[in-house]
Amino acid sequence: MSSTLVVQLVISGILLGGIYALSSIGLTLIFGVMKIVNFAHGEFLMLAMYVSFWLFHWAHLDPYLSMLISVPLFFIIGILTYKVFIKKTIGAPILSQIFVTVGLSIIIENLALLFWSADFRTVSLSYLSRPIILGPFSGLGLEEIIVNKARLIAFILGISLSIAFYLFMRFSYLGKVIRATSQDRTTALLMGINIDRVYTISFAMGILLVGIAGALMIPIYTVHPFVGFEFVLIMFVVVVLGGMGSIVGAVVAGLFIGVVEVFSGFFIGPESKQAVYFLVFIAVLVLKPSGLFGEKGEEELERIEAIGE
Amino acid sequence: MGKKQWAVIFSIAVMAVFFITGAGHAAGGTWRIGTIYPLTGPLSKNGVKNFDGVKIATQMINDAGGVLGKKVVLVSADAPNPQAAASEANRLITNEKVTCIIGTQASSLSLAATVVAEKNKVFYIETEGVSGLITARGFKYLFRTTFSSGMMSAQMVDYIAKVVAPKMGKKPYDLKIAVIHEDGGFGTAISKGLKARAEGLKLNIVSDLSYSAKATDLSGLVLKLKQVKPDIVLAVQYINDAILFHRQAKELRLKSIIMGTTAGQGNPDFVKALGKDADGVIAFGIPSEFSIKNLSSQPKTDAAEFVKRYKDSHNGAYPSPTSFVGFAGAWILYKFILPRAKSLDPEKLREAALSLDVPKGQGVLNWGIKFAGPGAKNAGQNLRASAGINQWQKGKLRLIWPKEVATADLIVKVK
Repeated sequence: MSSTLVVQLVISGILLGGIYALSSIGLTLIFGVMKIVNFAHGEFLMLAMYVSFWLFHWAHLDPYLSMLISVPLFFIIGILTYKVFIKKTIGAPILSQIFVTVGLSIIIENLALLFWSADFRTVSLSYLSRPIILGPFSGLGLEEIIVNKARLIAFILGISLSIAFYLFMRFSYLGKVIRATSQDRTTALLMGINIDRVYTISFAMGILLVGIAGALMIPIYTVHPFVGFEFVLIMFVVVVLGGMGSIVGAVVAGLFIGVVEVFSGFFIGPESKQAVYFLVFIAVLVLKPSGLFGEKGEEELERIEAIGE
Repeated sequence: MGKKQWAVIFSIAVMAVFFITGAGHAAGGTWRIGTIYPLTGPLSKNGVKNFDGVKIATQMINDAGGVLGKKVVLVSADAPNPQAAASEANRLITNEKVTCIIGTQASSLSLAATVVAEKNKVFYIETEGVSGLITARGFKYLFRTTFSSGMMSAQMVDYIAKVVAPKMGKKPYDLKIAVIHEDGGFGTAISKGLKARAEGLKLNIVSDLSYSAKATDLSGLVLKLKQVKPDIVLAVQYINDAILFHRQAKELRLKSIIMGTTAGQGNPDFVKALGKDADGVIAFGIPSEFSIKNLSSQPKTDAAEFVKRYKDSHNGAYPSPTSFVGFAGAWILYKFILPRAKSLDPEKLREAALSLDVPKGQGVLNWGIKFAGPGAKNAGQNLRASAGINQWQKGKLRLIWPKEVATADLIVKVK
């Protein structure tokens, strides 16, 4: 067991965790503010990956530049989805909210299958194909450490985005309004906050964030109509583990799950890594049901009254 | 009795014979054989190609005077899904009264249709479905002319021992071989076959790892492989995880030769995703191409005739391997089984099929014919068929084994 290997595993794990965190922030925002569990979040990620793929394929647009298009596009998609599907379910029983978002996920998945077929599509960027080699650091007794560029870019942008987003929520007026609404909806209403607008913006921002995640992930992963399903389970683990609604929690939990996954994949065996991180997940929830950074009681799905017109 | 009465009785008798023999088809002296293929729906792309092979074999045999002087007539059925495969098998047997069926191209369809045929004691030729399950059920009337998934794995391992090892300048048992597979039914079954054969040949398996095909990261797996430094990694994967694995293996500098299956590494999306990095990767299973140049005398003449007719009817396109194996299946029935059985009685067909012992290279294509007998683990399997081993070379998937039909030679680059 060389120290090089441990460092390599930690780096691989953190980079993977960055991707998990990145794809989960939007989900935790939507949950935190609106108390809606968006089961279609994985499918929005899939759509975002397809948008970047097609822009690359037809317009030869670099996936990182395609964000300029997908950010406004997904903001609009978010607003429309909220207005058409989600708004009516605010205040409805939790079951009907679940049916709406699950139904949405099935519809999006099948539309993708219909329009783009089940082919596996990839974007290969020549400038990303060679990894970054660090070292060797003979002073530390380390050999070469290999870092994947696309994962590093996703990690750096993902973490910067999370920090920016955190600052926005903490210090900007709109951020404060959103937080106020998520903490106590009724009081916020009494203070003259337009709840409907806050919900629209929060949902649209959640979808926008997953739009960015899609663009950052297309150079790494293959896109196909079922790719959302591969990520959605892990997104939920990250969100619940971090504390529903907590951005810091999502980042920490994402990195944690990434490292656990890579380490257990190496030491215990690749077939058992899911079992390992679910065990860790359950253990954390037993000790702290609201998640690592969740506020107490946040995990309870309170019922919200319908928004008045 | 007068002449008139005789005439009436005679014509009644003739009509009766017509009725009994199924509306008079046999009276003209024909062999009525049912076919079941997916001709519409998602599986139809290969189903039609496989059936084209059967149709051309039928034209060829009829133009050469038929079998024992009687022409072959196909009663065709379309089976887009397993339910349709079962009901069409039923229809062919009960309404059309066929006692011999050729089918079914896809394993899922084959499993459904052959159950019905077996229950009705109808002779069944499977031309392309490769699943090991098809012949694992001990059916008496089912015969698979093409290779099985188990043979695919065994032939891959044999090839490593006989061809790859010498080319790398090593003794087979000095090679370090790692097996990795996705943990679903596909990966588990194929990798089991690989391991069994490798153990049989006393090859050195240094590691055996499984993972979920839905994995979003395989760096732990790659680093684990890197520690044991295998010469060869046998990777039973689907396309999505194959792409992920190859990308991470390249980036983390895993220096092994990677050999996958045609379901993963042989998929056209694989080369689209990996570009130049696909070069040198091996994919075993379904042959990617078929060359008939080096076949032996009679099979070569037959195959050349088949290729000519296929090209004539398909705007000059060269037949795909799927069409070749369809042709081979029907050809084995028309040229070897039926002339011996002299009847479409399933019992006689079965006896004829089991009595065949045609050496490799003298049957059809590069195959021989020897069916596993009743009681064998894979009863009804043609043990002398061969699968294909392909290699990506300059962006093209070339067939490198079997030699007689190969389109390129193995290239080994020690990284």
